[in-house]
This record gives sequence, C-alpha cells and structure tokens, in this order.
Amino acid sequence: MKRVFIIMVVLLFPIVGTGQAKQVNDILDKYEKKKNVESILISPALLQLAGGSNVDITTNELLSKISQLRILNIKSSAMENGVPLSKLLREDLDQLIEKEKLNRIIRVQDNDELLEMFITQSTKGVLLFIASGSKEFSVISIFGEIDKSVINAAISGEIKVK
Amino acid sequence: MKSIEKNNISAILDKYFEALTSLEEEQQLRDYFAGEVAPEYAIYKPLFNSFSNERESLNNVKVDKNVKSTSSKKLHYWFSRISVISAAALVVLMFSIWPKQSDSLHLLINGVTVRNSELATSMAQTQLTRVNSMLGKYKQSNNQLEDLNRVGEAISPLMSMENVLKQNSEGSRLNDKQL
Repeated sequence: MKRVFIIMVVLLFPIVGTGQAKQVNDILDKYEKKKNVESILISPALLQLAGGSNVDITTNELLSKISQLRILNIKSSAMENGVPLSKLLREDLDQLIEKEKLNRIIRVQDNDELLEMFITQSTKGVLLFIASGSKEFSVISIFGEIDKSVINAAISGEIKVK
Repeated sequence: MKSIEKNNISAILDKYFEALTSLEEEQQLRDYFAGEVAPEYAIYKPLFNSFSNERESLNNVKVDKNVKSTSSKKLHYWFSRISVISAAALVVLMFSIWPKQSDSLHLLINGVTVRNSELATSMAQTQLTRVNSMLGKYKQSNNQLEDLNRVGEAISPLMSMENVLKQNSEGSRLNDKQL
C-alpha cells in the first residue's frame, strides 16, 4: 500500500509542475492583451546557446527540454483604474509564488533594478525571471523540463534568440 | 393456378358475398372473371374487374414511389459527395491562400498582433540582454565569493601551522612547570 502511494506521488509530481506552468501561462494571458504591454512568445526552434563556454549542454539538448519561452514587458506608465499595471501583475505573481511554493534561487539588486529568479518544485514546470525597474517591469518565463542544465544555461546568460 | 369449375362458382360466389371466402378462393374468382364468364355471372364481371383495376393502380403507385425514392437516393448520394469534395477543396484553398502566421514567434503590442518577426526577435533579445546584464552582477559577486574561498584554501596551511605552534608552546610551558 505504501509502495502504491509512493508510486502515485511520483507519477503525479510532473502533473503538479504542469499545473503550475499553466497558472503562470494564465496570468500572462490575462495581461498580454492590455495597453502598454508587450508580449512575445517564442518556440524553442528560435532559441540557441551562445558560445557554450560554461554550459555543459548542447543546443539540441536544451531545445529538447524547453517547450516555450514567453516574455511580458509592461511600461511603467501602464495603469489600470489608477493602479500601475506592473503592481497588479506583481501581486498576481506573488500570490502564485506563495501558493505554489516556487523556489527563489537568485535575487540581484542593482540600484533601482531588481532581478529575481524562481523555479517550480517539479522539473516539469517553469523558470521565472521577474525584472523590475523604474522604466519597465518584465517577466520572462521558460517552460519545459527545467533541470540543472537549463537553470545553468539561463543563469549563464547563454540562452539567446536566433 | 387451379381453374375454377362452373359448379363451384355459385358456391364460392355465395361465400364471397358472405365474406367467408379464403384468399385462394378470391384469387380463383378474380382469375375466372378476368377471362370469359358464363352469361349468368356476367353481371359480376365489372365488380371483380374494378377490384383488379384498383389493385393494378395501387401497384403502379408503389412502383412510382420506388422509382422516386431510388432517384432521390441517387441525388442525395451525389449531393453529399459533392459537398464533401467542395468542403475539402475549400479547406485546402484556405490553407494555401490564407496568410500564414508562424507559430514559432508571436508578438502582441497593446493587445494587437504584430506580424514582424524581426521586431519580435529584437524585442525578445533586448529583454534577455537586460536579464543577462543583471545576472552579470550575480556572476561578479559569485566570482568574488570564489576568490574568497580560494584565499581561504590558500591560507589553510598557515592555519594548521599556527595550530602546531600553539600546541608546541603549550607543551613547552608544561615542561617548564614540571622543572
């Protein structure tokens, strides 16, 4: 019985990650059609690794793990009902991060720019960059099998658009 | 078919008018009155002939209906074939003529789809560069941490020497006390 329970948990774990990825997608869908918002959706076919110096993964291996890259950029001037749109998006993301217990693995502050990096608990999920500054607020989401190699590639800045 | 005898006609006719005839007997009467009849039974000929005429006209109607249903079936068949072929042709035409949007790159600005792959690529790269430049700060501090670690490792032999010296000085103090 215990073995069956463990097997069930292991089998359901990827679904949990998929659910978290879906929730991130839902939030991005909610904001992408608003004014002063730019949204870009890129399939892995248009991604590549740059140089591959510190990364122990080939481009093909990376492309096979990433299912999608989404970028949402909100200008600081964007408002909704007198509230900055970036603030509303941040609140939605914070709720998701708290509810789904996403792990923050990097936080970098440089003057008025703040960058945070979150990952889902399951490898089949999403890697989230939230970059906030005085001029704009950006969310970069990498969906797919987010394992150590993908995280390293992302941190090393090796992921580029062709 | 069994030919009816003249003797029996009267009996069968009597039974017919009393609704007691079997189907075979009725058929015999119809067959008899279809041909030449005895003069005494001539008055009944129009009756049985009209029944026969009615029967024939009913059969004709059935045949007509069959003919009609067959032809409508054929029409329906061809109509459905032509509809399917037309629909398929329309779908193929739509796919060939309709402006294809690449599903590998999708750009929305102010809620409006912008079909400009170069712009989309440029905007995406700008954001990735922004993130990468901030990650550069992280890597810089990471490198500093690594340098500190290396310094720590470099001076660790000195630390162990210090421990040895301490032990020696304690040992010599003990010796002095004993003396």
